[in-house]
Amino acid sequence: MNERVFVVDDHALVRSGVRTELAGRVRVIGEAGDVETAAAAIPAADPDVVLVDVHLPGGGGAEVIRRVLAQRPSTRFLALSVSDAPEDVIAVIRAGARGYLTKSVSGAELAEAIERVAAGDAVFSPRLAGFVLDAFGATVSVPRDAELDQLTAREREVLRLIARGYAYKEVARQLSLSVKTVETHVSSVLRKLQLSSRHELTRWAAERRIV
Amino acid sequence: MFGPGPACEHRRMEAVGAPRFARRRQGRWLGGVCTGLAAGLGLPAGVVRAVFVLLTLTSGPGVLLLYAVAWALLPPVDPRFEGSGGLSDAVRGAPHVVDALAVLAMVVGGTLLLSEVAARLPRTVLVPGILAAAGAALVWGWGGRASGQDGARPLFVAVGVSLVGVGGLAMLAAVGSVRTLGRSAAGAAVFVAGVALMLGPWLLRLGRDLTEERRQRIRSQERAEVAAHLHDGVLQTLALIQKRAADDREVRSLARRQERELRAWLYGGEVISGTPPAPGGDEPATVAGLLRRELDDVEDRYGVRLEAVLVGDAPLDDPARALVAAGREAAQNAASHAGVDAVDVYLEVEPERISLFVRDRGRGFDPAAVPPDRRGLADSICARVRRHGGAAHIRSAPGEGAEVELSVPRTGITT
Repeated sequence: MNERVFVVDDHALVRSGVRTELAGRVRVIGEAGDVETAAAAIPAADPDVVLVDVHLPGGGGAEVIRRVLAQRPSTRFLALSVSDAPEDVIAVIRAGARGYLTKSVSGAELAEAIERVAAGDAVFSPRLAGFVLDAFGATVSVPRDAELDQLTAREREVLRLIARGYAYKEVARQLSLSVKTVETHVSSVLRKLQLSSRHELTRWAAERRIV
Repeated sequence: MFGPGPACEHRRMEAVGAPRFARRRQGRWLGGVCTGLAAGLGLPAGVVRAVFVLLTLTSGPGVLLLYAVAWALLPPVDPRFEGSGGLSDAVRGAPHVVDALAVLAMVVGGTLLLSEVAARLPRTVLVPGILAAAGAALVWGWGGRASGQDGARPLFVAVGVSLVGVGGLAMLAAVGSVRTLGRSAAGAAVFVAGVALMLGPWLLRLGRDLTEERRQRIRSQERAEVAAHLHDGVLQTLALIQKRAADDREVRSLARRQERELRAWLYGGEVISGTPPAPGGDEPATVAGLLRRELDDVEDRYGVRLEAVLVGDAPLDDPARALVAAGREAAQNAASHAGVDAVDVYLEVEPERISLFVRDRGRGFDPAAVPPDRRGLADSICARVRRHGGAAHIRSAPGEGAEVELSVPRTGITT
């Protein structure tokens, strides 16, 4: 319950806001305002979870994730952003973030998500779940890699409930599963999202600039 | 307000492109040609003058003609670069041997050539020819210059034009023997050549100026648009928020509305969002578009945040309209009765049906205990979708929030 968190955001106001919200829940051990500083400071700070903003001067959150993962592959990232543009979401997830939340989440939700990411699980906000359903759902063309390019019926059900605003616990109750199983499904979806070679995914994200 | 204005930019470009050879006013004897050449070459002015005098003594009037041409061709130096610390001093620091030799060769060669030509041509042709050449030089030298002595330009251009005209006519008259070729043809050729000479630099400059002006205009338009948007939208909202700081709900609703507008503007919602249409405006063409508009409206009225996740989209038909209307009713119920500040809405368009979920984590209620006279839930939500062959389920329990699940079949869409 005492995760070490590093915050990367170019707005000092947001950084201090996150610090305040998380006070007493996790330990914020460092912060950075741009890609260079973050890439240099994170491996040394050795955090459990890095909260990273999608839009940053010097290449964006995806760039931070790529650089840090190259030096310290065990680092876990949770993307936090005001931007809900699908291409941004997909970009950070594919770079290696284990989840995506919008900045409107409450401190308690954020702390819970950090805990989950620190434990190696994935964090899907309703919006991210919606994006994934949309991206994987639209086309019925034959996928190249059935295992990676398609969601199972169960994964679909789980995502649909998350998109409806259900917490993992509620999803588990609704589907008569254990929370652990729900987490496994979500992690599997995250893996597909990161590894799938579906070029539709990127095109879809570029086409649908939903706000 | 937004960085350097057009004037600054213009100035910078000019400084970069300042000519190295220019007539100079400071320390000149006649037209400043020798001084200018000397400055451009990094030589003492005396040396250049000596060369000119020497050439004049040996080759006669040809060199004077050359001086005149040089005077007309060399632009007058920009006053900003004259004086101590200016461009010339920097240039003078390092003599350019190759350039000096080139200029010297041009001067000597030109002088010799012109002397030779002057000796052979009959005076009746030579004088008008010189006049025409000087005129063309004047026009080229002055007409193509984009800035500087704007007041003097028309005068010099006019002088140049008349010189070209007079010289050309005189030459034509002098070579009367070729009249057999057709005086009109020669006249036309001279006229066309003269016009091309005169208009060429002017057209070039016009083109350059137009491009520059267009660039500036586009930039200032963009700037004005950003400024207008920031002013009309964001600043006004901020002012309103300060004024109504005491009213929690109003402030939240104002901020939320502004956030929506700004997002639509920044990320340009093409498919679904777009700028919020005016109330009573055109109905959006798709389910997602209509739902988003209805939800925006509910947010504004109730000051509750509606977290909408929309998956897929479809053209609007009657069942879809009923679905959205019922969904709006459900969202309103949640916003006004649940006692929460956020409600989740999820729309999914599937090949055979459209589903809509409205969920809150509020105080909840017992659906069986709703009195029959509370018709809102039954009529405007459930009956509405059932009329179109859809289904409605309401799940709730006291203290556990509520979820309304609606769906309608997709009809009439055979793709």
